[in-house]
Amino acid sequence: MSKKAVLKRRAVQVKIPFLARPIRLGGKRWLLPILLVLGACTGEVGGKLQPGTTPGGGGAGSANGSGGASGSSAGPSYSGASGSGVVTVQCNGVSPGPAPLIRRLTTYEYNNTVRDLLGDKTSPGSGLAPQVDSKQNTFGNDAANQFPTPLAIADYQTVAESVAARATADSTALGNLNTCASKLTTATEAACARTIASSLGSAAYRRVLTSAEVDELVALYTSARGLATTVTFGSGVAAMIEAILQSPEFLYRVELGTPVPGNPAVERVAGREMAARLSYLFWQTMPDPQLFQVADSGMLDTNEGVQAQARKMLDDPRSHQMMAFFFDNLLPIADLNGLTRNSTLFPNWSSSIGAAMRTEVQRMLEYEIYENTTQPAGSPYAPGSWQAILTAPYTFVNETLFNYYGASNFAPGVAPVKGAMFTKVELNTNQRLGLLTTGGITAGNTISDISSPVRRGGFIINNLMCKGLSVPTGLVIKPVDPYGGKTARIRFGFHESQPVCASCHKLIDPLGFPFENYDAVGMYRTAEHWVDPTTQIAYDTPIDSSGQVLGVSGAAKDGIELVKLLATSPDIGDCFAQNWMVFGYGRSLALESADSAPPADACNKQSVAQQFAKTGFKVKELLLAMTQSDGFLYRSAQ
Amino acid sequence: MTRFQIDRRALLRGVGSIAIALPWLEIMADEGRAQAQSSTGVPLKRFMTVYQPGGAVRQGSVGDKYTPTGTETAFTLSPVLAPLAAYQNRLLIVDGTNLTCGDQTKYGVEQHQGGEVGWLTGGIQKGPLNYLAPNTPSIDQVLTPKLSAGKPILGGLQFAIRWATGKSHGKTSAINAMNFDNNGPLGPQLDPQAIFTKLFGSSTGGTGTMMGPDILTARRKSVLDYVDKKYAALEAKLGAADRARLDQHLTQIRQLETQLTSLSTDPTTPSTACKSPTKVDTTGYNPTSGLNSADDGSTKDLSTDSKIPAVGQFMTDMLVTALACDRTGVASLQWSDSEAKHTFPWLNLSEHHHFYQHDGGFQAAQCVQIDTWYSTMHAYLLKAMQAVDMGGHSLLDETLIFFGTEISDPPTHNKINMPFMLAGGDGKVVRTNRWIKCGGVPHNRLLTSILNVYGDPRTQFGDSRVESTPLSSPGLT
Repeated sequence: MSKKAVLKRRAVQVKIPFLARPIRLGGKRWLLPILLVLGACTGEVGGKLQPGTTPGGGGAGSANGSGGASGSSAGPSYSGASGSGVVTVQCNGVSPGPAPLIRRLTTYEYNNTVRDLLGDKTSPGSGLAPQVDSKQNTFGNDAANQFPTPLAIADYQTVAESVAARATADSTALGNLNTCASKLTTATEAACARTIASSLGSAAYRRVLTSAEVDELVALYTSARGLATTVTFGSGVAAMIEAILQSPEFLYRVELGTPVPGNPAVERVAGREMAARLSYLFWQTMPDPQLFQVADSGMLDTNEGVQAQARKMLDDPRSHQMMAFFFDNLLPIADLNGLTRNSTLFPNWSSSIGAAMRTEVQRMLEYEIYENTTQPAGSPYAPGSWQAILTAPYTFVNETLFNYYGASNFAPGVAPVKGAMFTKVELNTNQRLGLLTTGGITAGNTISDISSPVRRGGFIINNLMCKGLSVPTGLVIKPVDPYGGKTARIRFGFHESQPVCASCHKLIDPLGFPFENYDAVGMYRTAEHWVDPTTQIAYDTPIDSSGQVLGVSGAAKDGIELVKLLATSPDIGDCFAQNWMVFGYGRSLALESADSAPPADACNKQSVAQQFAKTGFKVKELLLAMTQSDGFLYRSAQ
Repeated sequence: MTRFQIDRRALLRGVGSIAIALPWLEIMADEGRAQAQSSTGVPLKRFMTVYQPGGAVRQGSVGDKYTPTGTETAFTLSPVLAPLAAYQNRLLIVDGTNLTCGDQTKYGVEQHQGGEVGWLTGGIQKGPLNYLAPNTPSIDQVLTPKLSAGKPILGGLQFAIRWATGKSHGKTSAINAMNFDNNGPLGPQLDPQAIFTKLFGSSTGGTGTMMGPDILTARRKSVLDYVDKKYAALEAKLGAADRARLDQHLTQIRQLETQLTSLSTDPTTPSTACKSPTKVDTTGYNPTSGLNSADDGSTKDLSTDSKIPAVGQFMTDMLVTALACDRTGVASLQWSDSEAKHTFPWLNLSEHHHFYQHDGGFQAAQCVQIDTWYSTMHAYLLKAMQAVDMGGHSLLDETLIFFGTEISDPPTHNKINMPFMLAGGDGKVVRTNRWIKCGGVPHNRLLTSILNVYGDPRTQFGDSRVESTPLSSPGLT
């Protein structure tokens, strides 16, 4: 490890628009000012809960409210003036945030890891009880909530047995484990078992086993072989595999840390431990042999080395599955193939259209993040940036989806897409622009057959702006009567007339109304079709799709203008960084503190968000910035 | 149902059973004599919790369809509870408690989650996106060391039907977790076929044979022995928090080891009560349908939903047998979860339960229909327990069942005047055949009282911010 890197201290003093509002300093709690305005309006609005934002007003405190490096001499210090509109955050020394808890593989990581370890492509993790993953954070990877429940532990046993049986089913399978097993004789069996124990054990535990540890596994092989006359070489090997797959160093990502001279409060994450951090962040699976070599060479012991390796891994095709996993969990697209719609109202909707819309979004994200090098004419946003995604003038469709949307959705002169391949097409930017106007997002954020401005606005305000609003307490929530008016704006009009509703909905609804141009199956429309339930008279009423963005001046006349306004909001980049950090760190962020002490993750958040902004909000650069944050390079000692 | 009918049924069972402990004439005795014969009552040896989502309809367009009428000891069951009429003498309807620990305004908890994690723990949700503070166990887990002592499945069995239906997407979450040990939530078991195999082996059941032990090999033991050592060795190298987490894991590994041993050797002399239930074909039921759920319940799985009644009865049968066979002393049955985003095809209800409560505007008549159906399932459970002869008295006589939910009023989700109910026992340890009104006290007091009837002497339970002294008059005893 490079001493220079370890001893490096940062003394950065920056001014950032921290949540675009002054934060009360010296008070009892750090509260997001917006919540002070809203009073009871905290927590959850329709859509998914927001990871990492623990709204104030709870009084019960958050899991990671304080602790970590704060209080140590090397912790961050804060200075600044209340009311100036910015908070000056001074980060001295290493500040990794709250001590992370040991992380168990998620079901997704388990599947990928077993695949890479044993060539088992059956996604055996689906045999684990689904509650092995906790859904307390959007990505299911919050270490604090990975409880070793009786059921989970019993299932690891059952699944390990079936994986081991497959891996040792016949001579071909055994040969795949190690070539020594493809031409066995009585004389070579023992040595071959030892070879397998050593290679498999080392790969699974992500370190080189000692010969005593190999002995332990071989002893297991020997005793399993000796149990009955029918027991074979394969079943002895299976016993070793079962044991390995239930062992702590396989199921958990063990980090012992490396001491940092002069600073007992923190530990450097180096060598193979860093290799595992990188591998599970960028590939959602175990490190490969090349990565171990890099780790063993010491290259992951410096900030620069970590960044260089991270860049390589991000450029590796294996990172694409991670990217898809992240967005599947952040956006309402994973369930699109299961959306049911009234087939009389929406005869063209089908499960396969839903599935195609998910692919559309995934392919569009992949293209912008990995492939695009062109800045669209008139766009201020760099290729590959989050804002470029939000304002992309193109999408990806196959023939089915092209025909479903219809030619008018696409730029004049675009040739009809043919075949099953998803092909990039320019949009008719009077109708659609960017991620939030895709069929997938607009349909995915819709309850049943009626478009839902509250759901759509709530998704933006919570998932993309991290405002963590919730249904207020003590109110009888009367859902909108689907027959109560000719347009959504009429139906939801009572929000404005009721002050108690308006306090929140004046922020939420204007983010949702502009998307009224997209119906419950993601089709573009300019009028809302509505049948009076009493008279059975049908009306087609022109849609007023005007709206505005919380914290941004100016009004939008439709969804196109809204996404352009939204892209200018500082919350958009800030919240996106926060979501990635929750995912990447595998824990909730401590961005509030119970007293005047700085929140434990303030410096992490600041360094990542700042670097993200500096690099033009490029998604890949955000991930690289995260690998340079103290929360990734270090850990607070427990 | 009159006492005579019960005894007649017991007689019919007794004739076919040579293992019955009491002379048949005593079983035939009239009610007065039976009580005189055991004035202290049959001790409560088992405990069960049953959850149904969504509170009770005490207001709305159809009026109050839940609250009984009459007095404490002479009351008429409401339409929703009417299916339980045959067991009225085994019921203790507990009105007038508030789920205070789940009070959003007071404690900033989430509206469903706060009630879900609080109803058996008396604990206060640690804030949005969180569960409870450590060491906030549910009452079943408090009772388990005593009631499961010497039984193979120490921590009890937790089963759920059509669970994790909405934004929890099939995974454990505060919105669906109700049984907690000191470390956190216990996820329920979901797959009826896997449960059957685990508990009763590969037989098809219904043969009157003993429960088959799980397949045990010395090999499994040696694998677990290796794994055990690995956890112990690694723990020594870790910081305190990681060590504690791995220690929880190791505890479960050891529990598996214990289970392997005791399931393979126990029970050596099965009582006639211990018969595996008939295996039910559950084709079409996807136990992990929740994994495919949409946040708002818009993804419908009609195949799975239509199987809910059959699977529910099957799960009930298995739990009853597991209790009767002394596999464990505590059991939990969870009907869906607080999101309740599944349909009810057998009731011709094509929207989900939460839609009728709230999402679609409060539709009281549909909620009543659903709640009444749950009462028929509760009656099925009581009937199955009463049918098991434990030697002169029924399994129901030895078991107290706590029926509950996470909210009181469907549309507002408030937690005032919770619709709680206890059932079981022989009427003496817990005085059933009553409808008590507790006058608006925190339900933590009820939890303390339940623990007390099992001989747990504590005077407080749950979060210390909530009053939890035992219920005074009227109480459970």
